[in-house]
Amino acid sequence: MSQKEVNNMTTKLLKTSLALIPLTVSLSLAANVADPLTPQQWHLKNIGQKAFSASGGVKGSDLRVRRAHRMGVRGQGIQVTVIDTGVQIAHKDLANNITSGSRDLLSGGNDPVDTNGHGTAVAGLIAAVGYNNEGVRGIAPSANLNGFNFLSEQSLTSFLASHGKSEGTKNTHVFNQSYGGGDIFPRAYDIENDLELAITEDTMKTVSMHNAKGRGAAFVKSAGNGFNFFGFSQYFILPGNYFSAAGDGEVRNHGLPMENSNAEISDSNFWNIVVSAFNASDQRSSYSSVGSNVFMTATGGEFGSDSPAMVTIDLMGCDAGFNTAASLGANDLHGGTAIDPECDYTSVMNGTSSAAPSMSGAIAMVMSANKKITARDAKHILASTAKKVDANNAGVMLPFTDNNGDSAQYPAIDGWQQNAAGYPFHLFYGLGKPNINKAVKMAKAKGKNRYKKLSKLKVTSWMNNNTHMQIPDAQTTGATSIYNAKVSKHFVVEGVQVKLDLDHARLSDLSIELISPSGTRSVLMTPNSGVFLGQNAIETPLTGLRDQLMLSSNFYGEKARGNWRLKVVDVGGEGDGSWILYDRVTGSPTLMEPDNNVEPGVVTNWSIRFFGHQGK
Amino acid sequence: MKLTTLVLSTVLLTATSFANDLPRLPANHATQMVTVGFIEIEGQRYEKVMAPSRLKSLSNAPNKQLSLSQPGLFSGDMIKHGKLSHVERISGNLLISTTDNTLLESIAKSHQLAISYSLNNMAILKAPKGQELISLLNLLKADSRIKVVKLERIVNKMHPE
Repeated sequence: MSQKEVNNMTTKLLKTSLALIPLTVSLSLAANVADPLTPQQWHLKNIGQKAFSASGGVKGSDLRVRRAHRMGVRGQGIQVTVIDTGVQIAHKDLANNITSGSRDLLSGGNDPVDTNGHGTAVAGLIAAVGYNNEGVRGIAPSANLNGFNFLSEQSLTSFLASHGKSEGTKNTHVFNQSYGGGDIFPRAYDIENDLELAITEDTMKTVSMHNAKGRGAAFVKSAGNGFNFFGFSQYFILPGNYFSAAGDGEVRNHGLPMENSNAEISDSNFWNIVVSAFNASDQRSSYSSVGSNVFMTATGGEFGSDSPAMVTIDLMGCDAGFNTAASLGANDLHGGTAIDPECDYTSVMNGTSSAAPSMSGAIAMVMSANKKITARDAKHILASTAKKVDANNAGVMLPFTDNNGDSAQYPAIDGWQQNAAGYPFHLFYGLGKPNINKAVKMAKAKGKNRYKKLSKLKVTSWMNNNTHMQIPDAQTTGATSIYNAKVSKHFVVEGVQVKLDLDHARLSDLSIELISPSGTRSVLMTPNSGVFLGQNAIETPLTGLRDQLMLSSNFYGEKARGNWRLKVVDVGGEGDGSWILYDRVTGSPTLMEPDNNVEPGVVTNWSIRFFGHQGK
Repeated sequence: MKLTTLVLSTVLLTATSFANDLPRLPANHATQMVTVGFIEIEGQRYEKVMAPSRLKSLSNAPNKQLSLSQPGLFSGDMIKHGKLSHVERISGNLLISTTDNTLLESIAKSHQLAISYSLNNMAILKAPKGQELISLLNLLKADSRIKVVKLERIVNKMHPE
């Protein structure tokens, strides 16, 4: 190269560098623009701040997102649909991210009026406008949002419009569903006769795989808030020792969940990414429902008085939403305080309702980082880069008296265990919590580390196993049935569903396990669960379960081929099985004490199917 | 085998010590429905229920006899099946699956129903306003081209969580 050429090159480089200065300065300034409440948003970066409550959490118990934001990845180009109580689309900290397609499902208009505030708070967690010197910042602060008030009008046509079958949702990449409905009567997975189920499932499958010009969409759903008790119709369903446990030196329900999320048919649907909640102290949120169907956990917090809840958007004004003039003194933010005189923000949003949008925001960030990947790839990247929560949690050992009158113990919930594919899993937390910085880095990687997309999703047919296995009463031996899955030896599991028929006169005694060919144990249904308690509370008791659908994310990445073992264990004897039906209108509790089953239960049929892809 | 029995006993517990733990239903959700009649759907007996405010306004209406006591099931009716159940609202839609998806239009036409949505061999059909739905359900059940038919019953079961 001649000296002239060198000089020319130097000049060009200098010009280019000078040209880049304004952009660099602009990005740098943007990164430093203060959204004034963001320092209290512990879910973005937890430094132990109190988030307007009485105490702070643990440094690092968050979503690890700040670096990705600084890199300029902020959810641009990604559309998220909030299916909820509605969304206040005119909110000053949302409006610039609102795109078309919202609908009021009651009136048919295009403003999904939110009189509750829940959907607006959810929308704020996902994509409150960032770097605008206003209020809070979303996890994906430049993502586009629209909303539907589905919780006000839950017909099938409303479901379809809000879940991908409307013009406004055909380009949606992430659907957030911060809702659920506890039940004590399981709904059979009978796709031939339950047409509502058939239509919703087919819709979710199609949208998951083909929406948004082929990138597909992620349906994110909250696991529920029923760990300690849950609502059903006008009642709360409580464990039998709910009121006496503290005085008797016991733990309520022996530390097991009253609501196991896996019993609710929409939560055992593979097409839903079910999310549990953790708090600012890196523990399970006290209320969070759990189950083997939980894919990952995300930030939900506690109640915002003693310890942090989530800091997000509230309906504007001091006469609406969670933050009202009347809530002055509830915490350091609410009631028209100097930091938020118009009550446009809240610090008491919580629930798996907050965990779901935290996950939705994480997916939006990953899909934004690499425009070539699908929603399923984003899910995979987040699972691959996930981090353990509450890493030392040992699970739950259930003490009981066996049918010989001896003290026995049953490992009802395992601590963190690594499955055969190397993925850690915990029934409370699924595959762990998002590490968005790491996930974005993986999505954006170039060269030899470039992310390789998953091959096409495959769903096997149901493989049926007729059987007749007796389940011994109050014994850990249980009953085991084996099925040899003859699938390709390279079939890699993304999810496993089981459909089960069994007779048993007291279903809450049962623990249902699935064990993979590699030896990984997944507890599909924990004992002492409240989800089947309707069985003996009606005039003609139900004999057991029919086509009970359950999902496990525990086997993620394992090979499907080989012997799968279904094991059903009865860990309840005489004197066990009590529960309380608490009338929320009258405030009166009724103790229910169904008799122990006298005859052993029987497993009569089970089926298994796999969701996954062809690996190597 | 000893029969499984249900023991229901109201325990001596007061609600006051755990009031904060277990919030009562908000007043607007705690309204008890009033039973205004009974209806049999596919062999099951249901209560027809109504919110007290709705009942009061209908009782004051000139056509109260028609509104309150007309037999059958209509769009907008609300039903309940025992104490431990949700209130269900009848939408006026029917869900069907057919033996052949090319038959959907002719089935809808022959029963004077509108297709709201279809997917493969399944469809949501809308009944004309004012149509009695139990008799319509029976007619559709008798149609050999139809495999399964169900009334849509909307339960606002999902809540923010």
